[in-house]
Amino acid sequence: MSRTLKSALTDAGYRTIFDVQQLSANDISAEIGIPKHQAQDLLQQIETYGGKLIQASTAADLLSSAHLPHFSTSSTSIDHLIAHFHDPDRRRHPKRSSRKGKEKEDSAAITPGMAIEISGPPGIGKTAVALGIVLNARMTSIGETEVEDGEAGEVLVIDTEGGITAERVRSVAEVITRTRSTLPRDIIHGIHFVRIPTQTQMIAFLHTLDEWLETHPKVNLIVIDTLSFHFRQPGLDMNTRRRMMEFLQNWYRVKQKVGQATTLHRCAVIVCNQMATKLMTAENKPANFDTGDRAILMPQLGDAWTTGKTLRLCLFRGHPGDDLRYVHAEMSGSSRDLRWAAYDIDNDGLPCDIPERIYERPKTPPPRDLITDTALLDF
Amino acid sequence: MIEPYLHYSDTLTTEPTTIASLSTSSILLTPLPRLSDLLKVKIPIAQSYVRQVSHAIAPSTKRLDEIYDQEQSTGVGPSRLHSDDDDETLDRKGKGKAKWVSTGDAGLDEALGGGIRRGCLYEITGESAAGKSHLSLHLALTFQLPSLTSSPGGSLILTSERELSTDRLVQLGQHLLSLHEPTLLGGERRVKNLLDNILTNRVGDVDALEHALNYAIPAILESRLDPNTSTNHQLPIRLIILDSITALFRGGTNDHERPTAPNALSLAERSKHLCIVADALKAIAVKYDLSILIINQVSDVFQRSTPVSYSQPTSSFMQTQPFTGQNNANPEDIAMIYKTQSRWFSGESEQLKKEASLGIVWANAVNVRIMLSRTGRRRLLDQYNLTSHKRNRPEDRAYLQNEEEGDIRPTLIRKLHVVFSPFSPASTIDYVITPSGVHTLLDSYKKIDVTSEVIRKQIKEEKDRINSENENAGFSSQVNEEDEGGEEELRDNWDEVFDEFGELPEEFWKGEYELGVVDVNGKGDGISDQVSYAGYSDEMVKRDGQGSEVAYNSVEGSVVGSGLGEGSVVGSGIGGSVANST
Repeated sequence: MSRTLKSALTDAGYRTIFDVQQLSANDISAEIGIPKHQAQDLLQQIETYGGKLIQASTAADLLSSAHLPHFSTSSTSIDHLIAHFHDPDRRRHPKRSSRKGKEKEDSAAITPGMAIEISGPPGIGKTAVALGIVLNARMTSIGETEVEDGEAGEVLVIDTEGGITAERVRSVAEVITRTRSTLPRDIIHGIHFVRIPTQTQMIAFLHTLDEWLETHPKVNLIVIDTLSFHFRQPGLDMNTRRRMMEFLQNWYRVKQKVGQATTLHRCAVIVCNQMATKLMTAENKPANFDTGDRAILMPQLGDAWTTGKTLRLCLFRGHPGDDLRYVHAEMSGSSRDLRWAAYDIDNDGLPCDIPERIYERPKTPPPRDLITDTALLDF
Repeated sequence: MIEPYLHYSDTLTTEPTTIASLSTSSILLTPLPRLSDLLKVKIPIAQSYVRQVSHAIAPSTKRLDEIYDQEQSTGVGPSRLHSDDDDETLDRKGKGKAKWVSTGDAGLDEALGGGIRRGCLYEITGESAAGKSHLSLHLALTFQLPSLTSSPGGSLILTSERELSTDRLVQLGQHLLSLHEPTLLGGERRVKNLLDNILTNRVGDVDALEHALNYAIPAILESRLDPNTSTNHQLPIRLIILDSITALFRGGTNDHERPTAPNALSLAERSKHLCIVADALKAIAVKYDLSILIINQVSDVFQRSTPVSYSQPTSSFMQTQPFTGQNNANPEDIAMIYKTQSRWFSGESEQLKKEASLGIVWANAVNVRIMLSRTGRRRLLDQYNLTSHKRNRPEDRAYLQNEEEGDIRPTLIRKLHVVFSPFSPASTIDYVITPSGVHTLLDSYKKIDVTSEVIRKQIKEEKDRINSENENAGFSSQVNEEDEGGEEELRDNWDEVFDEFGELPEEFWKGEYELGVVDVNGKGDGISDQVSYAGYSDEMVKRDGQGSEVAYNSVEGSVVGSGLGEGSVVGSGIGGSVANST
C-alpha cells in the first residue's frame, strides 16, 4: 500500500480493517479521493488478509506506529540507531506528551511488530541490552496504564543460558524505579520467565508458544536469550546428517513461530544470538581451516531464521585503541555504511550512553522498501 | 539424542511411543511425515501427538516475582530433598542468601556478585600453579558449611589429570572450620564429615565424561537426594568440579595415540563434544540445582602485528595489497576479527598474554569466566590476619626484641580476574593462598572500565590533531596535566618485591641485606628504601654475616664487609659505588 494511501486512510479516520471493510469501493474512493479500481484492490487485499488473522489487528497499528507503545533500550544512542530503521516519521505523539514523569528525551524506538536480533561475543552485554528493553517496556506499560486505561503490556523472557535471574532483574528494576513511583515488584510481576536448558524442551515450548500467547494476551514483548544456544551443534557425523535436516526444519519452525508472534499477537520479538567463527581468505571469501587467513565472528544462526524485516544489531568492541562498545545495525544487508553507535554498560548492568558519543539520528531516511508501512498486507 | 536424565511427566501418552520406541526428543525432532510413518497414523493425529508431548514437556512460565520470592524464602530452589535441617542453622550473617553460596571471603564474594550461584556454570582458568585446583578445593569445602550457604551440599570432583590432594583437603578443612564455625565442637569428626561429602572420580577422556554425565552422575545425585539411601551426614551434592577439561581434549593419554595437530576435522569434533558436554552440564545444574565449576587451562597469545592503517590508504599501500579492490582497512572488518573481540572474553589482559583454551565455543557455553594468574610480586604477609608488613629495615633491627606474633612470611600475590559474568562487572582482585585457603586482599578490588580512558585519549588526540593543523610548525605538545592518575600506590604500609619463584632468601625479608634498590614510591631516604629485582641484579650486600652483631653504617656507597667472605657481594642499584669487601 502506498504511503499516500495510508495517510489518506488515516486522515479520513479509518482505524480498523473492519471500518474499511464495511464500505463499498465507491464509498472509499469518494471519501479519500482515490480511483475506484484502487479502492477495489484495497478491499480485496483486506479480504484475503483478514481471512488469515485470528485476532483483528487495528489497521491503525499497521498503518502508523505512532500510537503503539515504544520501548527503549535505556541507551539513547542505541535507540537512535534503531529508530533509523523503523518509524522514520514520528511526528505525532499526542498522547506521549501527556505522560507524567518523563524526564529525559523520549527516544524509545522499538514497537510491537519489530523483530530484532542482538548478536555479539560473550560478555559484551547482549543480555544487558535485552534486559534494558524489558525493564523499559514494563515501565512504559505501567506508565501508560496510569494515564490511559490501556492494558499494561507484559513480557515473556525465555532464558536458555542461565544468565537471567530473578535477583538480577529485580535489582535493575530497583534502579529504574528509584525516581519514579512504581514499585519494583510491580515491574517484575509483569514479566513471565522460563528457563529452558535443553533443546527438546525448547522445541516443545516453541510448539506451545502460540497457545501460551493466547492465554496471555497482554504480552507485547518476547525476549529469547539465547536462541542459537540450542541449535548450534555442528552435526558432522554420518549418523547425524539426518539431524541436520531436522535442525533446518526446526529453524523454519522457529521462524514461523517468531513470525506469527510478531504479527498475529502484536509482539515485539528480541532474540539474542551467539557468535561463531568463520574463516575467510584474504579476499574475504569463505574458506576452510586450511585455506583461511583470518577468522571473523558472525552470528551463529546466520540468516536462516530471520525475515527481511529483522533488524540485526551486532554488539562488539572496537579495534585496539578504540575499546568502546559499539553497536552495528543493519537490515536485509543494507546500510553497511551506517555509523556505529557507542554505548556502555553501567554498574547496575544496564546499557547507558557515553556522554561524548551520543548517536544522532541520521537525517536521511532509509530506502523506501525497508519502511514497514509497505509491508502491511505482505505476509 | 537420548536424554536419560530427562524424565518428565505422567500425562504423556505412552502407547504410541512404545510401539515405535521413540524417545521424547525424537518425537519432537522428526519431521511430521516421517513421524506419522513411524507411528503408523495419519498426519493430523501425529500432529496432535506432537502437541501433547510438547505440552507435557514444555517448562511452564512463572512470573518473576513469584520466582524471586521462592528463591528468597526457601533458598533451596527446586529440589527433591525436603529441607528439614534448617533449625540448627548457624547465624549466616547474611551470607549465602537464596541460591548464592558464599565463598567464605568477602572480597571474592563482592567480585563475583555474591558468591557462587547455583544453577550456573563457572569456569576457572589460568596458568599452571596459579591456584585453580586450590580454589576449587576451597570451594568444595565452603559449599558444605551451613554458615556460608542456606543449603549446604557435598561436592563431586571429577579429575582428569592428577589425583585429588586429600592432605590439602584435610588441612583446608581444619582451617576453614575454625575460621567460619568455631563454635561447634568435635573438630576431627567434623573434618571427616567434610571429606565424606566430597566424592571423586577419574575421567580419562571425553567419552568417559559424556558417559558419566549421562548415566553415572545423575544416579549418584539421585541417590544422595533420596532420603532412604542417604545416611545421616550425607548432604546432597551441590557442586560438581571438573579438573580439568582441557586435558580431556588434548589428545590421547594412551601411548599409541600421539597428540595430533589440530586440523579441520578434529576441531569440529572438539566443538561437537564441547557442545554436548556443556549442554549436559547445564541441564544437570538446572535440574539438581547445583553449581558447576570447570577448570580450564591457558594457551599463549601470539602478538600479531595489528593492522595499522585505519586512515586513508596511500597509493603505495593500495598497490601492495593482493585484494581485488576491496578496502581492507575498513574498520568494520577489523573489528569483527576474532582476535580483536577475543581480547575481551578470553581472559587476556595487558599484563597477561595468555588466553583461555577451547575457544569461543566454550566461552559461549560458560556463564562466568575467572582467570587466575600469578603476579610475581611478593609481600610480607601475616598468614592469619592477613595484614601486610613492611620488610624489616636494617635500622629497625635494633628495636626488635622478639619476633612478632603471628606467622609472617613472604607470600606471592595472585590476581583473580573476573573476565565476564552476568552477575558482576568485569574486575580484578588480588589474593593470596595461605594454609587457611584463599583470601583476597583488602582494597585490591578494581573494576575494569576502559570507557573513560578511551574517551579521554580520543579527545586528546582530537585536540592534538587540531593543534597540529593550526600550527604548521610542530604542534605544541600538550602535556596532559590531568595525569592518567590511575593507580595510587597505597604502598605506604608494605613493600613488594618481584620474585616469582620465591628465590629471595629469607634474610632478605628480615632486613639483613643492604639493598640498593629501586624505590617504588619515589620517596624514602635514599637507597635503603629501595627494592631490588631478584634474579635481575645480583647485587646485594649482606650486612650481617651469620647473626653476629654488626655496626650499621649509613648506606651511601660504603659497605661494611661481613668479614666472613661469604655473601659479601657489594653493589647497589642506583648510583652507589661498588666496592669489594674483604
